[in-house]
Amino acid sequence: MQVIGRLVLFVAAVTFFYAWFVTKIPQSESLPPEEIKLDPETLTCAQVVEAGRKTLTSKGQCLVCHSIEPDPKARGPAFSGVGARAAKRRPGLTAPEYIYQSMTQPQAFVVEGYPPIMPPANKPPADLNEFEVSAVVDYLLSLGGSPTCELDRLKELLRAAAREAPKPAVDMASLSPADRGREIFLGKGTCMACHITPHNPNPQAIVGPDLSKVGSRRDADFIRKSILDPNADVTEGYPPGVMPPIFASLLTPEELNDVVAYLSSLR
Amino acid sequence: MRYPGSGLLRALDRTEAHAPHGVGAGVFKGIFKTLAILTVSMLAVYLLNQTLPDATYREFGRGGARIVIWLVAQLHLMLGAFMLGAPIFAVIVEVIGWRTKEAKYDLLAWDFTKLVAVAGAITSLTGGAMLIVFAVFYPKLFSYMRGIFMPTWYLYVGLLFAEVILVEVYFLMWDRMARRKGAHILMGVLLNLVGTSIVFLTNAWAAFMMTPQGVSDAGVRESLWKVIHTYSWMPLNLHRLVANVAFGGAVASAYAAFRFLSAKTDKERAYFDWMGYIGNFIMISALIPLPFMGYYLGREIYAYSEQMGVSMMGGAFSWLWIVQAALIGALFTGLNYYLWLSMGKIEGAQRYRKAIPPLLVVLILCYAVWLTPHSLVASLEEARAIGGTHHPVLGVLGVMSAKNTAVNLMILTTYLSFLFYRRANKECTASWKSVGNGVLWSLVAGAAVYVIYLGVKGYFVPAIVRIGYSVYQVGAVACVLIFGTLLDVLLYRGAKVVGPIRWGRMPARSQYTLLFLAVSFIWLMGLMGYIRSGVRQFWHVYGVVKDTSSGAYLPAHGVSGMIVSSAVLIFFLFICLVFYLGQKIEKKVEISL
Repeated sequence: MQVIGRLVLFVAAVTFFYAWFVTKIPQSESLPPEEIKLDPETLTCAQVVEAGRKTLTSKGQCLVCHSIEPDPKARGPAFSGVGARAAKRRPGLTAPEYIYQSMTQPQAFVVEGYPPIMPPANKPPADLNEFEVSAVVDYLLSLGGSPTCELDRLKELLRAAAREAPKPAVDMASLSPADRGREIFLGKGTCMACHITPHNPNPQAIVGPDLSKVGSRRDADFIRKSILDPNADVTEGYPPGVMPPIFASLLTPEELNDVVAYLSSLR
Repeated sequence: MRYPGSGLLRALDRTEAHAPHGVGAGVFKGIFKTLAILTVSMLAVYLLNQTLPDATYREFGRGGARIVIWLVAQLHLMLGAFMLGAPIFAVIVEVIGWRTKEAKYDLLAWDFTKLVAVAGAITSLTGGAMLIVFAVFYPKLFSYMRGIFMPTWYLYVGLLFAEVILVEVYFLMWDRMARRKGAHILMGVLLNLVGTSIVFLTNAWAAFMMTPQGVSDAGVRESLWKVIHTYSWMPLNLHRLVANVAFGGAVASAYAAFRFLSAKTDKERAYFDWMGYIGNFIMISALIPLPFMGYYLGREIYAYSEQMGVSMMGGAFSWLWIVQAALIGALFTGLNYYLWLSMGKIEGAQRYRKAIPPLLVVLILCYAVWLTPHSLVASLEEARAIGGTHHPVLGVLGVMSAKNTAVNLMILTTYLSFLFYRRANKECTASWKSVGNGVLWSLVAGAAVYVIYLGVKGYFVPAIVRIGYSVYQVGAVACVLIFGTLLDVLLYRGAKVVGPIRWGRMPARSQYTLLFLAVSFIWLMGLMGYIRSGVRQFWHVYGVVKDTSSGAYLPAHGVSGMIVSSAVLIFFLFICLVFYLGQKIEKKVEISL
């Protein structure tokens, strides 16, 4: 037992020496990025640009690969002067359109000499919401150019962001098909951009029919057909060709079933 | 002996002869303990989840739940690593004993397996504790992971019982099957196949959390195979498999040190001195290829997400890589010191003593370069204090070119120490001695010069070319390790023995060195595990399930160091219990070392 005691003391001494050593190196704690809190009613362009700068340096993690000033070691193009360059990058795209596309569809155009490694900024892990993406666009426009600052649109995006609850740990596997369909409707499917449901009471979502009680007037087969071939039977009062026929490839068969189950449950 | 059991168990019991207790009883006890722990844990999870209010997270102080899960998971991982790694080399040593007909190897393999058999229950206990804390503190995440990997849990439980049964049978049938060694070894191989399956299966869960694939944007599983076969799965499998062997060797050498220090007779001291040497040799042999597995894992992480790769190597963790360098340097230094001390027990080793000071100088210089930081996340004050993000003079040594050169020279230095140790009591009698030695020394010197040449050239070429140089440097050193050893074995075949190896005539500090090596390696494993897991940052499942708990942050390095230290210390407290129980199971075998 005496030997065991000595052994334990020796191990304790070595392990805590290492722990002590680690306390002597520069300490850093990495906290989750702070959510930007702005009042939509008093929003100014300067606030938007500042919010964009903060997002770019924290939650967006853009500086992991990009730099502000040109740096030969950076994995992505430098931001300095991008506001002036952006309008000339791709014919047919304005400066804000180009930057927005570069952020959300980064592989659509890759600057020569750089690898196509950037993940979409509006998808995890950065997972920026629409307001944050727009604020970063305005900040980047301010570097050598002028931010557009569409304040009305930005205010609405800010209100929409405030309505979204913090994303909890999803438990999709244990959800019912209708609940999973609701998550897809509000998330991947992007259906909430055009349709109102009890879970998406967004007054701006009036491009397509209100689906709040769609389950009581349409059966599952009709709903499925309308998602896969939206122009086959367009609801009266709505123009044809607005809803894109992309959902057969966008959603997996399981996800499609879940969305149909969700919409069928709305009665 | 009466116990409720199947016909198979009773049949096994009748075959038992010299085992510490009946084979059937051993198997039954193993199954019973595992089943009891599993049942109690699941019951506890059920009752706690029923009693406590429904929540996404259940807190245990601020961020305390995360620390508890971290500690328990780390402990279980360490014990599991020993349980799954030690049988790999136990079987290899048994095969060596079988082919060479030397009883010492068979006894050594038996001793390793004995520790595995004793550690089984403690490993199951920590596994049960892990199940409880995970399911109770993070119920939603637990539920999500359960759903994603649903059929694999049943497979895991099945493999767990198979492992328990095979460990018991493999250990307790040792003497009974002495005349059917082939069949016994086959059983050991089967045990390792089951163990490896457990490693691969559990790695799939960890790899999915890190580099998830096979789920939709909403996190719904699309394919079971895809969620298993993610980017980091295979590199993690290889990395952990080899690391488990090194881990098993580290614990075995620590056990040998403990037994050496508490030995009453010279015979005991001699045997455990030899056991410590072999355990340490296994640890180092598995440690050397580990960085390559690490590179493979790192490459796959970069391939999955450049952002994650950059965060791992250059972000918040950059200083921890310096700590890693300090630990690896300590391992090499400790290993060389152990070999030099070991030469003290060999008559004839005096011839090589003059080589030790220059080796020590090379080691110290390389260690210093290996430790030199280059560009780190520094505060403005720190950057001002050193005149930039890296030191104007020392920063030149902190780059990859210098570090790769340093670590390769450290490996070569250690190889030379090992070579002198091997040759210590022998005199070469081969007719081609001069030519052979000339080739060998040219090989070592050539590799050293080549490594340094590429290191210097690395400063003048673009990064993409420089990265490629590390492969050539490692290749040159690997050539020396393989061909040099082969040449040395041929040269010293039938060599004249000039003096005996006096096994057991070692100072106590040599055994503390063994212990130091074991603790350092285990601490390193805890640290690297933290970095691997920490790169997920604020995600439970990277990019799929966000961590919204109060523990969703990376603690200050000092805190993480303290947690790793606590896990290592608690692990050693458990392992001391294993050692204590292990020394009570002995068998008398006459061996000559």
